[in-house]
Amino acid sequence: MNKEKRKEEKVDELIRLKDIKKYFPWKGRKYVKAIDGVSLSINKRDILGLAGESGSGKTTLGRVMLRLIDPTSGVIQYKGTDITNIKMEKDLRRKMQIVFQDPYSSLHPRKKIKDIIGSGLKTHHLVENEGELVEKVEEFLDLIGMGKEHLYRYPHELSGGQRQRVAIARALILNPEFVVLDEPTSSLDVSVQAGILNLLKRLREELDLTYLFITHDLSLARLYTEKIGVMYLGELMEHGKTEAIFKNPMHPYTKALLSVVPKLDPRERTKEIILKGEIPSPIDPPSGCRFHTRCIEKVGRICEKDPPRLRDAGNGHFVACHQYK
Amino acid sequence: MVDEVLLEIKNLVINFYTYRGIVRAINGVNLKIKKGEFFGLVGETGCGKSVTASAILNLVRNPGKIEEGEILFRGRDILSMNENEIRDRIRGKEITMIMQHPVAALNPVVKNGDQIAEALLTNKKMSKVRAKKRAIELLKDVNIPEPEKVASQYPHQISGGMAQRVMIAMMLSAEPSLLIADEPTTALDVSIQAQVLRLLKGLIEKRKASVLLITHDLSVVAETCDRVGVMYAGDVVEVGEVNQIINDPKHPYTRGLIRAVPAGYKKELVGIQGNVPDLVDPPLGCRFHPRCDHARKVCKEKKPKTVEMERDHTVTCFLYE
Repeated sequence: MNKEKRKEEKVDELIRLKDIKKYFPWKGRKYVKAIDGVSLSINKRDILGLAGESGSGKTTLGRVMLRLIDPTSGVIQYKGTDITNIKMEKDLRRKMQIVFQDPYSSLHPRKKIKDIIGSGLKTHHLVENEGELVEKVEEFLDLIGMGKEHLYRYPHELSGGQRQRVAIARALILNPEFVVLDEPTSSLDVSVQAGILNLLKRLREELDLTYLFITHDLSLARLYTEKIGVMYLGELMEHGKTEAIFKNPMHPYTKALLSVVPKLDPRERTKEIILKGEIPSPIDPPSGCRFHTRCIEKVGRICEKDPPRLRDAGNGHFVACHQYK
Repeated sequence: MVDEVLLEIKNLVINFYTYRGIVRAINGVNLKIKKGEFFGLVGETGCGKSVTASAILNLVRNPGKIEEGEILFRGRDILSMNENEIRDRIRGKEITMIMQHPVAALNPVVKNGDQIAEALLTNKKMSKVRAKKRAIELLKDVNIPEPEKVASQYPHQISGGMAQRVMIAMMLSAEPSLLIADEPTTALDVSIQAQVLRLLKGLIEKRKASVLLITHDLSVVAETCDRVGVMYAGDVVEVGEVNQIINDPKHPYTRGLIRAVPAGYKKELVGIQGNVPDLVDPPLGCRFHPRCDHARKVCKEKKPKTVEMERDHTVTCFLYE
């Protein structure tokens, strides 16, 4: 029975990373350790949030998942199959899509909206002719809440929010299974942001999608993800169910980060934990726990010597900190 | 707090003359900033908050033009002063400004310490030795670890958070009575943002100066400011104490903005329908009417008047006229 249950869980898993490392070469035979041993998995139809400050490696990790960047070491599994070293077949590419952060630079300025959204259809031979392409693009324009009149317009004629909708349509028209959303609203105004995020949430239900939602904004992650991983300097510090992490953050870094997020409602404000100093360089990261140089809950020398492993603290809440045994 | 007005903006109108036509960027703005207060000016891209700030220092340049209005600083109109007087008395002295991209605002080929010292040499007529010493003291004041080291480094060698502190140190060297901070933490991470905002607040309280904080982030305003003005498409639509605005917003735009900002108690966010208008051809009447749920006929025809709801809380909307 137990075995059966485990098997079922396996089936539900869409993507799994095992001990992923990505080192970029730097001058003097040194390396920027952008990702240094991250393991995690995403289940089908989940939204996993990846939070962290700039330089934490969240964008690199998102790209590694899609194999837009090849990892230095580690294993990427997609539906149980190792895809780390295989040639990326067209069909697999189609199933894994991405929406970039800046819709001002991610859309070709000299192509019409119809061609921007539809070009993938041609590449993957999903339509027979131009008529079918236009029909399909119209269908997706409707899905993202834009009218047919935009078909023959250029990106510069659209607002930021509309552009991001186009980028979303471009990713989704190929009927993907997994979409990486790399800070999809961070270059948009708040009044527009809500519309985009609600759209993404709705489309996930309608199209049966799985998202990796990369964001630096923890308050957004709280609203739009089911699970969340917190990264710091190339490592995963804590991950688990979103509500559990917000209600009971365990890692000192997560606690500090949550305490300094500006809050609209004064009742939500807690005592701010102001971290000392800045994020150390990923070229020469601190020994032991990478956070020990800024941590206020250090337990002793062990923090400087041994890197803590991610441990299950119960209910699928994982934390990498020596405080918890 | 004494309600003494330090700066008053009266009926400010600014247009930009572009090849596309006249951009009606500021549409008759009125604002008061009191002595010793932390005033937040909040609004989305293109609402005119930064232009308003640059008008205070009379820094609106071609193709922009200040068409009308007064900016009274301690009762005197900055806009009618000549350039020499502004340079000698106001800009970088009584009123200083820090920008969004601190690394870009600093001179890349002058060491951090020397940039601050230079400000002291010209403003305070200090000797070179004194100025260098004072620069290091100021760096210490803004919580820079190893101030001597940072003073001898160039801007590109320090992080964004550090550079913003160098800017703050430089601005404080002039002992201004008004500090304009234009999105000072937008380019910084939240943990660094918290450090910088905390620092700014502490320093300003100590010196009893005022701050005009320009930001798109209502949560930052909620955490740091005493009063707030909400701008939309070149108009100030609502002004009041932060608590009043957050807990009991009156203007439909302010309400929409608050509904769109994430907070722990919310289950979902609600956006505002439509888009920000093109200010070459702004909507007639109230500029928010095409996106407003409460828009009536009169909203499309006339510009609403500013009404005082309660003490220090004004709103510009026909719902309250």
